[in-house]
Amino acid sequence: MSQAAVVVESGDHEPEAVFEEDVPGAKKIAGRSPTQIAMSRLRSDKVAVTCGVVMLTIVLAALFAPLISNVLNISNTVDGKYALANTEVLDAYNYPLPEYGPPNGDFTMAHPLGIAPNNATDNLAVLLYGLRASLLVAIIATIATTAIGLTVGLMSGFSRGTLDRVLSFVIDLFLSFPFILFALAVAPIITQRFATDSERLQQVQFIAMVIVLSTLSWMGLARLVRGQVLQMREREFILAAQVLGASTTRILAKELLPNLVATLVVVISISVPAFIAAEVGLSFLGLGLNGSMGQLIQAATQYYDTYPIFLWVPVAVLVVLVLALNLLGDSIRDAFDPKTRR
Amino acid sequence: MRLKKPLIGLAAGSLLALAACGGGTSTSEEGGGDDPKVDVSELAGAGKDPEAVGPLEIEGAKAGGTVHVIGVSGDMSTSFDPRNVYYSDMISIQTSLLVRSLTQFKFDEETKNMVLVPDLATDLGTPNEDFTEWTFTLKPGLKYEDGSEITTKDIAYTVSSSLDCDVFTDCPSNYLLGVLTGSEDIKKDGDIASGIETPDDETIIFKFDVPFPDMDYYSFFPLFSPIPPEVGKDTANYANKLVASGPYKIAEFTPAKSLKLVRNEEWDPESDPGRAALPDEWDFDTTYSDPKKVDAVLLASKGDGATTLAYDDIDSSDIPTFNAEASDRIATGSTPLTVWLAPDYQTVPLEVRQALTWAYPYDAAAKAAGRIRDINYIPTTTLIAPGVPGREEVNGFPEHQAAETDPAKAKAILEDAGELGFELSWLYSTDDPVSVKTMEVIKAAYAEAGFTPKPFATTTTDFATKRSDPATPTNIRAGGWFSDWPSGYSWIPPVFTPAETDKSCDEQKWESLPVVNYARFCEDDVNEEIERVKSLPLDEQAAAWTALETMIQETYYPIIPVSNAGTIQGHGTGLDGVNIDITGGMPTFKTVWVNE
Repeated sequence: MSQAAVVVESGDHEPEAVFEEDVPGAKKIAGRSPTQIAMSRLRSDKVAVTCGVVMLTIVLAALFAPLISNVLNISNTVDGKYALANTEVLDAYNYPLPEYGPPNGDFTMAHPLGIAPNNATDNLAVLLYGLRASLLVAIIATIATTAIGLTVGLMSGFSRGTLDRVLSFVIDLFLSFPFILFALAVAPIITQRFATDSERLQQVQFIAMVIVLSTLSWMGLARLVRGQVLQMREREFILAAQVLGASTTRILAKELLPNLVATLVVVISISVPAFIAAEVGLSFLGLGLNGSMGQLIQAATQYYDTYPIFLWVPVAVLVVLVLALNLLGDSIRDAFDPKTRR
Repeated sequence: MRLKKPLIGLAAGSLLALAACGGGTSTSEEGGGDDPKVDVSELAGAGKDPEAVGPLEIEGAKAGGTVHVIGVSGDMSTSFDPRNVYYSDMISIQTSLLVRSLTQFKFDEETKNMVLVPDLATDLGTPNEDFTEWTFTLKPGLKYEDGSEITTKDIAYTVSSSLDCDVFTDCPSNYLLGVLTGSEDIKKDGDIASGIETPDDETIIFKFDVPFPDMDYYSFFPLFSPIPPEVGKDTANYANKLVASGPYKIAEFTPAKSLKLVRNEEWDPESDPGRAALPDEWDFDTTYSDPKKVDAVLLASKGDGATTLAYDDIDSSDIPTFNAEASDRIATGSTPLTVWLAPDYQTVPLEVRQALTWAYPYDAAAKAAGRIRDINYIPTTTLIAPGVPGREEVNGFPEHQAAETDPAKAKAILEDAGELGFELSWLYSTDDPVSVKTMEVIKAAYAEAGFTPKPFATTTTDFATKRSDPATPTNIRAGGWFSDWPSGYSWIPPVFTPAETDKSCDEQKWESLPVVNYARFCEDDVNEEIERVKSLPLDEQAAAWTALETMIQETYYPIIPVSNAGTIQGHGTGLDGVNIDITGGMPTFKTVWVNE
């Protein structure tokens, strides 16, 4: 009994305020970095953990799309080992026959989400490959955006004079660029350039999508970083480093960058879902990748009443993914923000 | 004739063709007895009845009420000047309700066919011996909506005025250019071509430089309707002040959006063998954003919806619902459209064309494009569409039946010819999911048959331009053609004649693709034969065109006919007499009546 009481009492102690000499024999507690504090806060945040799990599940499913498709014997294309012949599995009106699942029949294990009307690809396989394309675009675009934004922001903020003015002008220039117009203009040019090689065209479309998304959205981060650097460069630790003769590269990389980690993490966590949504939007307009989530949803819109699951499953997955990423982003921001103590 | 919307227009022929290749025996078996079907076999041919007289009476039909016609953007968006209408929806609306031409098509209840009957003229015109002169006589007492007399001088004015294709850019008068005597001498509006004579107010004579045997069919076009010259001289705005000669006149008209028609009291039913004109008013509204919304209105059939019809096809995803809930409110019929594959005749050898015939995934591609067998995908091996007099089945590659796909046979032919791995290239649009899906299906099928598929990417906007440019490195073009009137004259010459008709085949430069000769086909003996058939007596022509098609296909096999199309349209419970006018794939506006 007494032992249990002791345990309860010790649990009430504030761990950060524990000193070695107060509790003899307690394990040694080292000082913790802001990142460590943030991570421990995240771990105790139920929303963050749930969203993390959801996101991880979807990302893993997308990552292993070929493996899952092979294990389940399903296909996202019209040719290949597991492809169905649309002349055999669709009815006269080009809807799936009852034995292949909804809307005419019950769900089957062979095709967990049913098969598509018209070309009879498997809905689950198409969804997984679609997620794969969308996630890959979003992640690469995020990395590119971060790299460009960070570099430009650091350089612009730390340098005084001409370079700062030039970079600030470049930022303004890109900010004034009409994003949708750019995307609209690029798509047909690429199609024309790589018209004869459809495999290559797919890759180029992918790269173009990444370029369109990243070249036109790094400016926000650059401005944010520049502002922070402007604040920090007059602080004592930077001045001290300068007095000690540290090179500019060292100051940027070793003194300023670590102080920007919190900002970066927050920006990255918010831009991934934003890029997914942007990619889907562009693909929906016909500018993006064949086989991504956007085109998948666009093709399914006309079936909203006659084959609802064909439309609503990809929409729901997309909503869940973007919501999870956004909530996770919120939690990360809260966790990294020293002002929000809960 | 163009299709309903400019965007689909002739380019659409190609999209249809890309889309339209599918079928499959399994689907037709599942069809069952209750499924809507377009039966083309009964449409033996559009007949003629020069004796037909008005009024047209429909048994049990009631007069009165308002008919609503709804559609989506793009419908009713093209020119509404009778001298310029060349899209099938506008031609149908005008000739059925607003204007009267020299001849017209009448719906025949028994055969579901369209019959050519007189309209303003007393008969179907009298040609001379060699079809270089046609004489029409007007019925007595015909009046415009304002009560003034209709004379042949006004028709002479309309036809002459329409010859200026710089003003009337859709150019429905193209068949007359260089054919009608003096057609190129029109300097300004109001000039009358020297080949048109009006000895008195009832008689009009057309004189041609070359024989023109199809004048009676062609005369149903609105460009042979009367326009008062003093109103018509405002060529830019005549569409808005159109003077009606038909059973209705315009009460309100906003292009591409709405059209309201009320009765024209001056129209005399006794003079009209083709128009029943039972409803009091017509109300067209083409502002719907989405075909699914149109379908929803028709399915619900509530309020005005009960007396509503649409001339766009029911969305293919809605056809099962219509069939289950409103099968009596579906009108199906054929349209004079044939789509075919045109391998480049100059670069693709005969064996490869034969292998291609086996390799093409007719049924699978049609399914991928959402086409439904026996409704808007009707496999064929014949170029001339059903409904054309004298049409007979033609098969230039008799081992192969319509819509059969057999990669093994294709591969065998390729192996024998030493052409295994032959590169096939064709156009698709990357920004159109249907086009991409269809391309994937076709690509897989070609690869399986031993070809090397190289699809050529373009965008929807550029599609038609790219296809008609011989410099585009594709060697299969998908063709589609919608005939202007049911005659072989409207099929064989456009599809098989080279661009430079005055030169022999060796001298052709192929700088552009002529009309719809997508195969770049040219053989001197065929060209001679086409000229010979054109000048044959009318009663021998129908058979001669089919014989010529047989000769071309059996000797040279330049094109691979894929399918004909049909149309499937819905209407509300309050309407009767809604059928399909097979000459244009539109509802038979002339016979529609309100039953409540």
